[in-house]
Amino acid sequence: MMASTIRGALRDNRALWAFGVLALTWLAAIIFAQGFNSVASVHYLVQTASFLGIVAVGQTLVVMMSGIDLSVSAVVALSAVVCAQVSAGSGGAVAILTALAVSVLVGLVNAAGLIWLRLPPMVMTLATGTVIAGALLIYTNGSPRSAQIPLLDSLANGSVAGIPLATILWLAIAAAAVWLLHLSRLGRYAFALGTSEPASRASGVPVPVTTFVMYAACALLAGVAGLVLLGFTGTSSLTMGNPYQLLSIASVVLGGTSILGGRGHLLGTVAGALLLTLLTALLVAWNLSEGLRQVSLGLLIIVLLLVYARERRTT
Amino acid sequence: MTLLNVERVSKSFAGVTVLREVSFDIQAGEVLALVGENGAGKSTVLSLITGLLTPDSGTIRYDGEPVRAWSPHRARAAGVASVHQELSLNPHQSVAENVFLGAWPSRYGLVRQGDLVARARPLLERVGLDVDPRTPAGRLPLGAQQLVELAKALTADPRLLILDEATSALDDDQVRAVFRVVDDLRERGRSVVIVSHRMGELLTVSDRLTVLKDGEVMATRRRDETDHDDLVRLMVGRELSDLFPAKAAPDSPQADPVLRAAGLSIPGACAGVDLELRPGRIIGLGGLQGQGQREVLRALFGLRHHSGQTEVDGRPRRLASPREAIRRGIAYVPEDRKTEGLHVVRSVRANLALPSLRVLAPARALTTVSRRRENELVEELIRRMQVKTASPAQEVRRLSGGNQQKVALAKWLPARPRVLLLAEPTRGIDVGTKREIYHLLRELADEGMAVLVTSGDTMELVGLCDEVLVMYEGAVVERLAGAELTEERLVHASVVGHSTAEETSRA
Repeated sequence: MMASTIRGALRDNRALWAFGVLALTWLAAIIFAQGFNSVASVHYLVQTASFLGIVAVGQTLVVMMSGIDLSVSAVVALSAVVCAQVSAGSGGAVAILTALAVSVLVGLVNAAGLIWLRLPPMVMTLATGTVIAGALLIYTNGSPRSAQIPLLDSLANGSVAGIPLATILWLAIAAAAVWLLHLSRLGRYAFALGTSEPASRASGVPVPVTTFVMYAACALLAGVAGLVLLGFTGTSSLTMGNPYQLLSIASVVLGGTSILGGRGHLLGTVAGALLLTLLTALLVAWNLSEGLRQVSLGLLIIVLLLVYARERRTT
Repeated sequence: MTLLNVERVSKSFAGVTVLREVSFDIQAGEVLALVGENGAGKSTVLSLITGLLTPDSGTIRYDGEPVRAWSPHRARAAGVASVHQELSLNPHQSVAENVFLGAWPSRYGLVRQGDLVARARPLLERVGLDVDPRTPAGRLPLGAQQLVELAKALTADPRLLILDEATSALDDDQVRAVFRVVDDLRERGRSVVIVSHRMGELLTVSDRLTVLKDGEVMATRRRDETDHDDLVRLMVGRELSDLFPAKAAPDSPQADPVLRAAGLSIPGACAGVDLELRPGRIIGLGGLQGQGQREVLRALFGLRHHSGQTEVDGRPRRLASPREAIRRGIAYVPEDRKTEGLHVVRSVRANLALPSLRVLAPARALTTVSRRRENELVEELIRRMQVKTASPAQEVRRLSGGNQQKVALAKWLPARPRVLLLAEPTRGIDVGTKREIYHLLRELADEGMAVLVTSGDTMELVGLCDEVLVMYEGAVVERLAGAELTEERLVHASVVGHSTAEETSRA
């Protein structure tokens, strides 16, 4: 009886699994690999994880309502490129605000396409992503600028009490997202939409408002990630967002959230992003070639999904 | 000859006994009815026969041999076929493709459409279905889809056919077609197990009836030894005389209508429907299946585009979306409770709280949902409706049909709707829960709610409603109230398509 209760709790709480697997992997890394036992390595890991983590938090909001955002990689680049471009003429503050506003706009366009054109999220967001990528090419003539914006620089590279500012920002964002998704009315609507759209409509769930807020928030967070990255590297590029596209979705799913929506916890995504960053670092530490690294990461993701994040068969 | 023998079979789930030493048998060429309330163990018995579950103890003999390693696959191979209330058709494939699903006749690996259609025709005819086999199955009304399921089950020429609530979505004509199939099977020495909540049907078609209550067999009766009252007594262990509550006094002063529709039309579904819903009254929409009753309800709840006037409290109001309808105080309990009425994979708590979130998470609390008030609300509803659930955290799909329906209805109550629209409120629900729902609806009406019900069950409409509008091909052809509201008049108008009064004046 006791055992089955525990098993049931574990099955229903895949976010907890994500933290467990993260802890085990970390432990294994400290024991079996070199260089994972120092404070500096932890510092570096949580700092790099926060770029992916911020994008993944946004992705969670959308996946939970049974959507998906494939424009995040383009928005990361968009926000960084726009910020770098604008800051040259009008200064840092204006540049940051412009970049964030443009990012939110992309989210609103995504939501509008889903609601009014009734396009499937995968198609709509992929299309906006493609449009943005092309538009950026035109806007920058193929050569985006570098920019030194002090605020972004300290945000990305600075620390408070030994904790990277980027990580603090990430955790603050995650806390706000936990409220939005798990404590607020809108979050309940997102969960309801994620489990059944017809039932949600027939229960009076405000589908448009929920969609607009969640997609705008997702795009905003991709924009924030782009800015932090700009501060981190000091330069913008057209492809800087690419790694975050699929890894953000992988973080969500490894965090125990159902890719079909309606089930999971946002904190799982935090563990998922840390786990993926840690795995990448491990593969680097083992001196695998870039190709082998990608192959192994892909296989590891599959294995982990099989261990605890498989979709339930519905009966 | 005995085809199937169930001997002292017991089954329990997680320590809860659902079947206790159940024994019965089915002869070749016999129709056996399994009768019992929801949760009596009928589904479990059927799952044991079809190999979905294995018994904890006891034996099942099929064709004289104890079954070993019984599985759905083996059961099918041995000639067991079943039709369930839940549809398993692929809506985008044609009727013919669905009928032969998994066993498409092919030549050199190619399925020939013409061949498929030609083979499907006689099967469809046999179940009394007059449709083009090339129609996508999803386009057919629910009842017709159910008949396609039956045709599908007949393809393998089963020795034992299981009909599990397979007639609940059918109108009287369709039910008769099913019974012709059953009679035909019986004559050819095949056996049928039938489960239905429509007692009248069972008493017509079956040879013997086995009554289950709380997982035990109460009795097995020959058809000529029993009647409706006897069966109900065995099922519920008491007399059930007050199934329907008392109606509103017919001469009581009528309040102004809350919701009025005039000339309500939906292309292809209904035309020129006028109706008035008044506080304290329960109005029924009757007629054969698929005459536009369902669409009228969906239009009033803003789920179907419609033309015509709609007025709430005497003011013209557009009801263009469920949210607008809800804002005007209209609530809707759909017939399809598993896709539209409920979030079945979410908890009882989440389902009950969903329509009340505006109150539970007001703007001044920054829309944060108050856990405490949510729990209070949910517990109050569970208590009031007597929903049988292990806890508020239980997933709704784990509840029995009757309890699911209670949740689908209860979730609207905190918002105190003024108009309640219900489609087939008691379909597939046991008689005890039916009674509870009828009494609750009357209670709500007495508190001043206006209620509109569609139902394919004539007895229900006559017993529950103050007035019944009969629909035929999308139009209201008869309005029956008071002494005129009888099963005979209702059935007559449903079938003939015009009122009895017209007929007498014409004669």
